[in-house]
Amino acid sequence: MLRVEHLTKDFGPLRAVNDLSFELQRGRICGFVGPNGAGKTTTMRMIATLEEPTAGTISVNGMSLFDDPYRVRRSIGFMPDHYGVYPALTCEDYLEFYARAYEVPRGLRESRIRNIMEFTGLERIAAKPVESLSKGMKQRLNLGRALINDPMLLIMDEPAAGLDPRARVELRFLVKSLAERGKTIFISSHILTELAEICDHMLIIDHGRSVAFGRFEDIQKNLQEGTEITLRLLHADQVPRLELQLSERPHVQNIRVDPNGLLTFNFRDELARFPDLLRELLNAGFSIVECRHGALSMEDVFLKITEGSLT
Amino acid sequence: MTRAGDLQLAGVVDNAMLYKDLTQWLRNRTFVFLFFGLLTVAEVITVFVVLLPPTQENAGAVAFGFLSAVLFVYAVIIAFLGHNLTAREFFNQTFELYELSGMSLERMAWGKLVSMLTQFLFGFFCLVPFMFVSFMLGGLDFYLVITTSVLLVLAVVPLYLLALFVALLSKSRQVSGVVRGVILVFVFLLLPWWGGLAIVGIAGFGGTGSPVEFMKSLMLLDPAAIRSTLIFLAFYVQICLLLFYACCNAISPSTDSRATAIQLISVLLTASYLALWCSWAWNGFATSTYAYLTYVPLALLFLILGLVTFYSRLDIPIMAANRQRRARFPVTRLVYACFHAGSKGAVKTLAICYGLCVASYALTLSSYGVTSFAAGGTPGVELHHAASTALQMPFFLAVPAWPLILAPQFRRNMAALRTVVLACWIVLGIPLMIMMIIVNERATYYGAVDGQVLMQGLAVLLSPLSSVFVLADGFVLMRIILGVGGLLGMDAIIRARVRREPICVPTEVLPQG
Repeated sequence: MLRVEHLTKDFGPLRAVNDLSFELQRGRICGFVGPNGAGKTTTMRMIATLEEPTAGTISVNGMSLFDDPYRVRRSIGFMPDHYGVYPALTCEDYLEFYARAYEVPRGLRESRIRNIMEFTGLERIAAKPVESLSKGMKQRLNLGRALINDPMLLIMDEPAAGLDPRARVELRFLVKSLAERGKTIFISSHILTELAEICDHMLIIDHGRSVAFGRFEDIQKNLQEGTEITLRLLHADQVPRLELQLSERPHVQNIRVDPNGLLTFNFRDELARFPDLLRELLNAGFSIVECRHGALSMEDVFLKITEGSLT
Repeated sequence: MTRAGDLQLAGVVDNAMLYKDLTQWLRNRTFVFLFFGLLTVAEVITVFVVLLPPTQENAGAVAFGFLSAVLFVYAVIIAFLGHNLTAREFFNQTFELYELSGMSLERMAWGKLVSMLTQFLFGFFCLVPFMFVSFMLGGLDFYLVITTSVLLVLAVVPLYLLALFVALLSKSRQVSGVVRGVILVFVFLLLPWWGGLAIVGIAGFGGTGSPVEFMKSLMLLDPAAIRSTLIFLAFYVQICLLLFYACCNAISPSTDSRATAIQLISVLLTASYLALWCSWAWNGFATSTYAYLTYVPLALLFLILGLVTFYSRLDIPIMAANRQRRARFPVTRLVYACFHAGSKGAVKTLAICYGLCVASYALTLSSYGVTSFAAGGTPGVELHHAASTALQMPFFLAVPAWPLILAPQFRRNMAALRTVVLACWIVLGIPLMIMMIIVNERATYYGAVDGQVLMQGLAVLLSPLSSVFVLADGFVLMRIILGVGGLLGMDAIIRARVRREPICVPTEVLPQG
């Protein structure tokens, strides 16, 4: 659906995007993360045909940006981080205007606008002026605009910025249902927990370069040295003995104990073999009352990859 | 009709921008104020004139005069409302969203223009009943009504295009404020003056005295009047098209361009004007007192063309390059080869226009003879002043920019460079222009003024505004040399830009293999 190869963008002496390559299949939701100034917006604007690449290629649904930029424009929906100004225009007028702009056939216009309003939950405020809407509602309208041409690829630049928790949940739900309808979504955000919940793929960039791309689980697995296991003992005095015993095991690494007595270590064998280890420990008399295994959170992944350069 | 034809027709009839702007206008409170304001003012004027003493024979003409003035003010208000809305949309990147929809730049500009014209015509038709009443009051010539109406309708199209262009030209509110001020001066002071001169000139060329007389002869199908009207319409259409494409070009400087259209129309306009100028010169117009001003429109064209197209990016934007690559007809390919987007294309076009000017100069020179100039004969001197004024203009495009282009911030921000160049012309030009007018007046009655040559030299070197008013014979050759130097300077500026910031071409655009 979206193929980006060796994409580069220079602004004078500054290289904003540096040799970026990735490919997205249909129906995927790809989170696009990076520190401020990493080149996220520039990349999105280049894919949306609003900026010209200095080098590299972009193709959407098999159409190259350079061969037919006009058709590429018509086949994508772009939600930038700004809404534009529409004094004295109602939500319905707004969508009608964009339906005309996208040359949606007259016969289809009304039903398309109705469907979008229904999908984005804008029916109740159809007659309200755009400028009087709350940020959340404006964002829904912005999404409606991006969907008016029924695009296969949706690019969303910081859609959750400035939204209250309720609006965020609603937006997340909308994005998920769009992906279920077969749309490819390329979404950037600084709210990583949001992305973790909706994205199946991640692209992390730093200083314009791609530092990680792929399924989130794969990125996690690559970064994590085994599975992280945490144990809580009923009797704190058993902790040093447990630590000693675990350190003798070949697949256990990086053992640490926190002030609350929680013992955490990385289990580098297959996770299916962990119950055997747990059984052995219980048989050895350790009073284990809690056991949990956890993966790296998206924040951890991001900080680890960008080496703490989150700004 | 084909599907493509259907879509093209839909773009004209079912124009999204027109729909949006008209909807906004009708929903806005300004519409109500304007509607009732117009009606109230028109009623007050009519009642006031009706209550005039019965001896007043020209009551109808008085009422009509006031109503026309109201209509003119209304037209200007519409221009400013359109300008403000467009400028707001441009500042807030709303035009990017329009572009994303795949709406062509022409469709956007056309929608905005037609929306403003519709708003003007609304006001016009609001006042028609009152104009009819003023006609019934007596003392009003029917031809005056027709002439005024036609002139107003003709004036609003370039006025609205100009308002749009100004809104799209500047990228920040501050710059827009400055440019708006300049345009205000232009619209209220210079435009009516030039318009008046043009009308008088056309009327004179048509063989009649006033515009009303001209209209009478036109309606009586007088061949001279028809010829003049056709000439006027040819120029009018070209100027409107030029402004229209300048608006389109300003909408999308980063990914698209209409520089080819601008350059082509500029060359056509130059050629048309020079043909007319040659015919004027051969018909003895060069003996007129104001003959030296006849090259001012060309000088203006050079400056505008230079500002819009020369101070732009070096390479061809992606959408324009794609269009150029896909051109099917040999004529289209030829046009793209001669007039391509980017600064290099601008210099090429300016050089073509310059060549045309030189050719017409040489042609008219042969009819007057060089000796006439050498001997100080009036027709020859006027001709030389007129021609050298236009031929000097490339100098003003090159010189203020030359030191600035070395600064990276100006190379990266051509809009800023353009604004600085324009500001230089105005700031330096207006005081010098006033000074030169005073010096010229004093010299006529009291002979040469102290330091006159120095002032004239500064006026010739510092701004196109002041250079036009330098009438001394000694500067004619200097102006032409400066102009040639200016063209070479523009070429040098491009080389300097290429050297400092090589054009980057996306890999896919490069020829394969």
